[in-house]
Amino acid sequence: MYLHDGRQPIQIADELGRGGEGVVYAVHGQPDRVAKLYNAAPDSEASEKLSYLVALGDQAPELADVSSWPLALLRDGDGAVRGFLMQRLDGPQPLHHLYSPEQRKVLFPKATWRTLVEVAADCARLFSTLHTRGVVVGDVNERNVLVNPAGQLVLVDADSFQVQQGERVFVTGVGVVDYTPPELQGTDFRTVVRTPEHDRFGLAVLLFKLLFMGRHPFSGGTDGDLAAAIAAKQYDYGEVADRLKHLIPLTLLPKSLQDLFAAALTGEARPTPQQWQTQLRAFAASLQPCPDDPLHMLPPGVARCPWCAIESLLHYAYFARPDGGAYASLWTPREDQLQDLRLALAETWAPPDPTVFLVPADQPAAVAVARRAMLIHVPVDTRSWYLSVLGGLTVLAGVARMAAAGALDRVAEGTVCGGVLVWSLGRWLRWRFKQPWFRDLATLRTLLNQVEHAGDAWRVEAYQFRSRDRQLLQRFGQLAAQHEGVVAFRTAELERLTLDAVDENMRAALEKIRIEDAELPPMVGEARRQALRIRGLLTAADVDERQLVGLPGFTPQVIQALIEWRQALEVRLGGRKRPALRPEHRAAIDNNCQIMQEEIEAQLAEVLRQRALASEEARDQLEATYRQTEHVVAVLKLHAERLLLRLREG
Amino acid sequence: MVRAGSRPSLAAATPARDAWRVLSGVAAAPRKRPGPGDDAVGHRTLSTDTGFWLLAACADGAGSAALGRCGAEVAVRQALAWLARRLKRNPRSQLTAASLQHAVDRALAAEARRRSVDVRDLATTLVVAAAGPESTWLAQVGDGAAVVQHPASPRWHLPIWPDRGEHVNETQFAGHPRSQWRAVELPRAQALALLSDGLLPVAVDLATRQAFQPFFSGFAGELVQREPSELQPALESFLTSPRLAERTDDDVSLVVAVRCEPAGADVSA
Repeated sequence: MYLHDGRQPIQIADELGRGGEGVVYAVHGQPDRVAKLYNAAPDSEASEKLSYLVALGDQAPELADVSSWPLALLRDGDGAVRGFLMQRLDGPQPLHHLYSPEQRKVLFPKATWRTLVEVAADCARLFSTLHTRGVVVGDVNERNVLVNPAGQLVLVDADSFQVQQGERVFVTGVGVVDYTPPELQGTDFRTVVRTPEHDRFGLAVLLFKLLFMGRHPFSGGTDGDLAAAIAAKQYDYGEVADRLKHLIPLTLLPKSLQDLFAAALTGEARPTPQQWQTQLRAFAASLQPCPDDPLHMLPPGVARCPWCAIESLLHYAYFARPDGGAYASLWTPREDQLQDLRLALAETWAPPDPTVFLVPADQPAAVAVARRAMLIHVPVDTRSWYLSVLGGLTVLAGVARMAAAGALDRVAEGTVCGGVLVWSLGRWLRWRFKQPWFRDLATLRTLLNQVEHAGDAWRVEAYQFRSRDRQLLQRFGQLAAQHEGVVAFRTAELERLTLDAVDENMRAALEKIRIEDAELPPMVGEARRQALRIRGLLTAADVDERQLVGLPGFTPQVIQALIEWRQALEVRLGGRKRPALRPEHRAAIDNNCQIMQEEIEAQLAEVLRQRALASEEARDQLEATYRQTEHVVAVLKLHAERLLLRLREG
Repeated sequence: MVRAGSRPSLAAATPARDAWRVLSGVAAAPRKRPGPGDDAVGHRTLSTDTGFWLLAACADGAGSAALGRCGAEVAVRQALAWLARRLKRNPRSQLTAASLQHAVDRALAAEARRRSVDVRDLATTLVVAAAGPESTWLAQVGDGAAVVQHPASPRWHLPIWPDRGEHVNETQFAGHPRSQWRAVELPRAQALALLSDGLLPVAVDLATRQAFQPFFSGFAGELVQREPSELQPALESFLTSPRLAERTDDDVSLVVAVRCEPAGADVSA
């Protein structure tokens, strides 16, 4: 295909990538540029938008530094727009490859938490640059931000950005619910006009995921529905992280950043990208390596390193180790899998909303005609009327004669009988004449009734479908909770393995040994002995890890010394020696948890499948109901019109 | 129903209504025969608003010889009654190990008062399963085991490793206030089995801590094809067989349950 960029012919080379709407190619002779060609030639609206984007890019060259901004239009031999040129980024990965731990450890082995905070700050800078120029990203999501191994960021899909040319707004037209602010949840992305305020919500979600290992700030509550959780502003990460020990506590961020997140995710006035950038840069600069492990980045003043806690408790590392092999456990929290399933759920269609019944276009007209037809006066048949009158007069004549004669004679009798016969004949003819009209009116009434109640029938069905759908969503939420429950269960089981508890068989013997006059380890001086007494720990049986943790002045080393002292006592008094912890015990727990999580994921996938099927069935059935209504409306209209026409003619 | 093992009292298991086929049996250790063993098993079915549940429990009394079995029976009866009560009231209620522990400990304490003995004489291990249309709840204290098979895979797995006093310094018991009860909620189960520690050497690979697949799939496979009453004699002879006695010298008890209706049938109902 012949292509030119307005100045010179362009020759495309290797294919670099492929998306839903087009293909990206390398360009011969221009190593710093790539060409994006659409599968289908853009319509006039899209072409005009692209032309405007190119013009805007010429005025503001910084736009092309932060995004894959269209630099020049590509036209074919006929002059039709086929695509555009944009700058090239080396080795780009979608942002989720950086924040999701499993992919990060492979693709960004050198990344630490500081890298993530810096990338977050840079991400805010991109948004800031665009917003300054009045450009709105619109479709914020992790696939539209690319990051290369050097940590450079770029926003892609620039042709979907929302821009305004005078009064005319070129909208984005698409969106991802996870990044959509509460006020836009449930609206139609095709027509909605975005504001920078909307982008700020999506940006906050993106930054949150970068800082918190890919976890969405709204975990979806009990029914796993992220869209509903966002709409209801259930920003519950703080509580969820308290419950699930593999999550980084929210309090690892300084109060100022916590407030920014709260304001951005649930508040009215969302922080600007500029505010984020400043705060995040300052935070990144303040991070220090943990004294026990230089791989763990900590803000100043944190007493207990959460990264160390997670690694020692769960045997799971969020960052790659240079030696690679320190954490051999096969287990991962499998958050990515759960998140993927949640995304898939968000993409599954819900059955149609019962409260919205689409009325066939010509229903109002048909109903109006039918109502008019219902009010008609059935015409009078003159022949039968005359007959009845004639019959009636004849009867009167007979009666008159009878009165005159004073007695019943044969002539009067015959006249009356004949009159009655003629009168009856008239009535009968009149009935026969009116009968078809009445029949038609009855049919009309039935049809009208059907049309007017078609919505009710549709609603009854739609409500049934929706209640089934709610059950499926509820089931999804239950399974998602089970999935997280397994993580919590694994933590509890691992804790048990290392739990130290007093040997119950030895308790009685230990209770006889008073701490006051026992020979304690040298680390435990007189002051600590007093502290134990004040706390009510009087005998060796009270030396229990759970009681000692948190006592002022009792460092982990002191606690360990005390526990070893008690364990030695137990053995001396005839108790059992504690077995060593073997790696396969941990492996067995991991293995079990993985089986359980995979099982839950399989059932989650099954729920998704059922929902897709049910929604499809609902749509088909409701479509059929709609078609039938349409048919009845057409019949009603035809019938009513025919009736009115006949009236006019007859 | 609750049955306790007094050799060779292996009453025929009544098939669970509709949804589950259940096979269960108890046998005393050979050295105790003809005396009664300390194990007790029980199961019942329950129909709730959300569907059909199977409740099962298996206990191994650990107290004094005279009272061990009594404690096990009380624990099984109380656990089943508690589960049925909770689920009947609200099939979606959050079951927790702590509330089950409270219920069972209270029942044991009451029994101990009635018999004027120390509650430690009634101490027992306990493993409980509540298998519903959407979830399976397992809870246990001590060295019994619950093994589950889910609809999607043929694998039997052992979510909660029996507490055999390896790490926590003692075997844990119902009736001891300091014991740690453990529970886990799993998705819908296709089949499950409860067993007492006597069967662990033949049913579980102690080195890798995995369920021994042929042991469970054998029972379940038979149970899918035949009525539990037909299989009862075979289970009895297995539990009292000399071959089993060679490998374990403890009381043995087993509950195996298999869902009969097709998988997923009542999910969308």
